[in-house]
Amino acid sequence: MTRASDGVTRALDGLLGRCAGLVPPGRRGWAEAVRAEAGEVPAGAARLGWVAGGVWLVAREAQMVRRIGYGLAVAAVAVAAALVVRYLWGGAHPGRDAGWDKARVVLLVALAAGLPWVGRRRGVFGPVGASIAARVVRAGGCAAVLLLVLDLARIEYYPGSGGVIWPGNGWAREAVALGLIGGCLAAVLIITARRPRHPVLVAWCVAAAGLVLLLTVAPVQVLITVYVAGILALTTRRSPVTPATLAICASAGVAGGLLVVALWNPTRSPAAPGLHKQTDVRLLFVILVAVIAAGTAAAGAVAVRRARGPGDPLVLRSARTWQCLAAGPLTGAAAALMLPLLRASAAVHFAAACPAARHGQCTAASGVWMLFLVAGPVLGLAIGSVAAASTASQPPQLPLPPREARPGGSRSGGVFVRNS
Amino acid sequence: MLVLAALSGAPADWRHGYDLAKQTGLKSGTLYPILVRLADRGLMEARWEEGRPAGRPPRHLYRLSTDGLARAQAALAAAPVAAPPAAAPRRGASPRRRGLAGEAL
Repeated sequence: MTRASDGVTRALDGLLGRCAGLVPPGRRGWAEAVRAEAGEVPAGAARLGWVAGGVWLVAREAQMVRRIGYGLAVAAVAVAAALVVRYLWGGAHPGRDAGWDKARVVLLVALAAGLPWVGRRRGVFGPVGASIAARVVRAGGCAAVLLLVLDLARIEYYPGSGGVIWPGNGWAREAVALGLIGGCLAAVLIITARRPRHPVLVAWCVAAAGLVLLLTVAPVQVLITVYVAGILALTTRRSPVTPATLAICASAGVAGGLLVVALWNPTRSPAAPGLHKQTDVRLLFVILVAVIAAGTAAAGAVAVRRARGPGDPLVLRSARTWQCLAAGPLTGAAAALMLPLLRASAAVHFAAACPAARHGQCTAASGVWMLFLVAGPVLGLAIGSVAAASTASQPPQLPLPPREARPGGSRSGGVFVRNS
Repeated sequence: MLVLAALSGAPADWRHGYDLAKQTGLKSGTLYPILVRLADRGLMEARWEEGRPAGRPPRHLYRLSTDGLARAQAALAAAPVAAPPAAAPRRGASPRRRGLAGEAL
């Protein structure tokens, strides 16, 4: 046993010596300090623990966990981008404008490639907050979005699937797009002419018009970008959203999304014995709204409970408002992300197997997913705004009074202890 | 707190890591990050042992700086009275469970 322990200790000591080079030059002395004193520690488990602590110190100082996580993120994005390009060039279905499709996917790949870089820079989108909730929500959210991109690419460009956005083609689609572009330009011109002294309003109008134009040209790309930007902004170190809000809303959203997935059957009618009837989409929407409301209410309640005590009322109000405003979209987005992730793969296979008569059903199912992806955060923002208005108007509550000691004993660690 | 208490016990003396670990009951993976933070904030001085001691490599030595000593004394005076640290850590007991050992400041 001692011989084995000594062997492990020597191996760890060697590892410590080699890994010390990963630490920034000004901090390498700390790793050397641990090694220098290992000989003083009694041989056996104690020395092994000492050297293992040194390895942990090096991993901590070299930020190895962060480096490994960053490397994994870069690899995941690269793989997803490569797969999307492969799907695109592998088979755009007939009748679509392949040039536009390729341009859209190149834009999506460019956005995805910038994701790790943006997430690491100090600013609105990075770096990630110190809490476990922030890290889990950011990693899980970005992974879900990457999988969503892959599934969308598979459906969008699968021959015969009908596409997800703008199914079909022809003059009607082009007319709608031209109408939107014209309307946006007209709105900007009118507002600029009527309110020339309101540069902020004009700027917002231009931004909104630009967003509408982008939505017209590349809707999936804009949707994905908004999702990623939201996830990064909510989980950054400067975000006013607390870890409790992140944890509550992400959990509620994922659970609600899984419930919707379990209840949802996108097939219209039983073509074969044993298949269930198509689920009413309105029921799924009711569930989605209920989940968002529950997650927002829970997060708001936690925010009110935590933001007690003497403090600046404006600060308390701002903190509560932020929790509610973020809780709704976060819950809705988490629930909506569950739908395509778990259903899209099945739909691709369904589209491959089903005859031409069912392509409309595939398209309808894809449309429902996209509707959920848009409606989830929008509904969440609406519910969160209502919750924020009602929560922020409440007066700041006094701090909880200290619990009075019970006669004959007291509580310690949740256990009643009788006085002896 | 335990580290501050150990270092402020004899502020003029240079202490080495294993000596502090024995006194505080902290393991190296807990003790050294605390020392690193103390040194980063200028609360502790660190240097290598001079010369070449016989039979062992030179040690890394630590003691509180003037500012660190003042802040340690203030923090220790404001802290609630804690039980004296055990000479050896109980197996399986984390520093946080044992009290304030995990807190550097």
